[in-house]
Amino acid sequence: MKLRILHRTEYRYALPVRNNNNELRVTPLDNARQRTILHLVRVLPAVKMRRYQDLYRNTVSFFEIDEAHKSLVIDVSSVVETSATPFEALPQDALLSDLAKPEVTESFQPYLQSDGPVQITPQIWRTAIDVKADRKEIVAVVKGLMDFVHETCRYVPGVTSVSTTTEEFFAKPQGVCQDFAHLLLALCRALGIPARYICGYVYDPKRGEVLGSHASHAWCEVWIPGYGWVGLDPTNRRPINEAYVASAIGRDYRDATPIRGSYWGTGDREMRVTVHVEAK
Amino acid sequence: MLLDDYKAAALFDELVDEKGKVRPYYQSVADRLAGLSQEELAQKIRSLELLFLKQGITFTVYGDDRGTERVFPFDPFPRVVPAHEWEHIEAGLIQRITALNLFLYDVYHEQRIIKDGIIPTEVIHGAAHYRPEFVGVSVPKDAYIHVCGTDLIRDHDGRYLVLEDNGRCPSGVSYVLENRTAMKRVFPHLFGGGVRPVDTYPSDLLATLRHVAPHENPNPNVVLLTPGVHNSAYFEHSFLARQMSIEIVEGRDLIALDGFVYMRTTRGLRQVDVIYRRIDDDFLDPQVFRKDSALGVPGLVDAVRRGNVALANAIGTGVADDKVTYAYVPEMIRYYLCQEPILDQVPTYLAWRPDDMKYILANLPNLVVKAANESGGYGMLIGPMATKEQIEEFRSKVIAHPRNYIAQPVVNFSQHPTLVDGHLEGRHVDLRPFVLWGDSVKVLPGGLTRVALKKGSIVVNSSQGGGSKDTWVLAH
Repeated sequence: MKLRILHRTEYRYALPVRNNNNELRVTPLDNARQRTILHLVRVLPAVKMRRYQDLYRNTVSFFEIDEAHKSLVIDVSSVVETSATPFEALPQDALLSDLAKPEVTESFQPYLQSDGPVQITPQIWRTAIDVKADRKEIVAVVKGLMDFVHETCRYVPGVTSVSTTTEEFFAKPQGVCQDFAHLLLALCRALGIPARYICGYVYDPKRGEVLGSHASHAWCEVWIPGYGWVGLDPTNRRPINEAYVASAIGRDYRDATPIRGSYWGTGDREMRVTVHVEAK
Repeated sequence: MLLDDYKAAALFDELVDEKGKVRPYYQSVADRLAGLSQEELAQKIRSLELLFLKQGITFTVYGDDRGTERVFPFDPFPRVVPAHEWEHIEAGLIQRITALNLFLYDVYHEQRIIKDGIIPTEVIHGAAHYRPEFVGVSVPKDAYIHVCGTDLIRDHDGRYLVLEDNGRCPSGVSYVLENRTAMKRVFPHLFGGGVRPVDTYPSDLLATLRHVAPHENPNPNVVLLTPGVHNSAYFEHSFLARQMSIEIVEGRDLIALDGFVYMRTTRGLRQVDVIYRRIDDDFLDPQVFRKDSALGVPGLVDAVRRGNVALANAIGTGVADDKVTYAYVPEMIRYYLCQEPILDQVPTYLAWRPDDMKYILANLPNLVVKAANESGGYGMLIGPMATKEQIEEFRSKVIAHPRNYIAQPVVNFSQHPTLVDGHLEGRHVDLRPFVLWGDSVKVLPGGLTRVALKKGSIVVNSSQGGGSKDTWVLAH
């Protein structure tokens, strides 16, 4: 599927600001599941753009504006061709016990930790074990955990913030895709399943059916021995299909924040974000 | 039969590969064309010519005593661009116009690219179409080039190269639309389905123009400003205005009062919000630019400065399509977008750089020399085809005005079978796709394929004996 993504972020500052530094993780990943045909990051005022690859091989675009300015526009446009693996094609017989090996725990340490917003509290740990019940196959367990998150939590924008932890969210399970993803990460990690955070975009053909399509979206990937990383969207309770475009990977939101910046200035700031994903 | 005696030359041929085999994406159209008898073909060509004459699809040649208005020559063998090639071209063009618009914003604001030493300040200040009086003036949506016509050629290996960007008033799109209409009428059986349509261009152009309406006016009055019936592209002006259902006006139909622009109508003055101007900066406003111009509107520039009327393209875009600036476009793409150019371009020697000048003077007979600010194939020397006198004439011109000249190696650009007296011969072609910069960037699938009808000629400009072809971008 060919998808076109337009992601626009506009800042207006009541008083001129300076030394505005920004880091963007908005470049679609190039992997077996997605091929980038076009990707442009346009910033106004015009800047010298720089790029590097971070620890997680995300492409980071960054720039700074030293002179005083009253507005900043970051326009990201991408055209990506996607494909998807059907969930049924995954190795259904990979076992949880296959993960309890030193080479797995060592190489996936960052994706097994209780850290930052992903807190594996005793309560989350107990819940993970309860949901797992007698199941031993990773695919079945992960699917059970995703169903649990989807059934337990309600999608309510504006209740949580970027720093809400799984502990806080689990106590009052109302939030957005990022909270859903963090909780599923915590539940998977509690059972020793390597799980990482993905930030990206999702296409909603019928408009209004897919949660998270009006902004940057977030979901999870879990690692299955003998196969690799597999994507799951707990907010919409489904495996990743060709409607999804991933743009950043990390342990949690902190590593995969689409736009992060700082500037020197006082006064009010107004931000407007629009995301359009359309089939081409 | 038509194809039997077609010979590929020692350069890239659009139709056949190096072994003389028809390229797979041409097979169906070639078969259908070959299925026509000589009489059928001749008859169809007659009806095509008649159609073009009746439709009044003409252009004007300056400096010719035999009359100025001509029917635009048309060749019925369509050029075919497969989907994967188009995907590459489209991405490259979008990248390029993005960089050019950022460059224009920068040049007319902070000029970071100069301060960072990427482009020498002389290049900007030496460009004939740079408008220093517009530094610091904001334009709606920060859009400078709304309509861009970028000329592409293909080299020996079939690689697409950008020859130049036309970011002022690019013309030719009306021929793209008319060529398709004519082909559909006269050769309907050639279309096997899967050719991407071009007919949305007028509505896309109108949307692009409405997008820059000042004060976010949801219902702007958009007009097309033409220099008048004697302009070489007048056919196109009237064609586009009609297709978009907007008024076509001349300078004398407009009046600027208190920083607003109005159109004189039989019911009094009506405010104008967006002007699609097909008239050069120089002639826009005698108060600011050429004093002797009767084509423009006094006070228009003031209204633009106050943000009460939008011009498409904006004033001063000529600094970006200057032939010296062209040499720096790859650097712009690296600077503003931190990417490598998707489309390559022709190596360019700049006469004002001492080393390049030495090279140019030593190699004049092998180079193409172009004046930096001319278009339409005027003011150009093609070394290998020039006489000694012409070469010497250019030598003294280049020495006298180094900033004004660039030189490029002769690219043996691709050829395409073209009907000449009932059989096919290879003729050189280029491609001018049209890019619209509005709410999103749209590239018209296809563009104007111009063909040099004179045997061996590489000048495709209509003013210099060029014709055109329908261009088919395949959907799959």
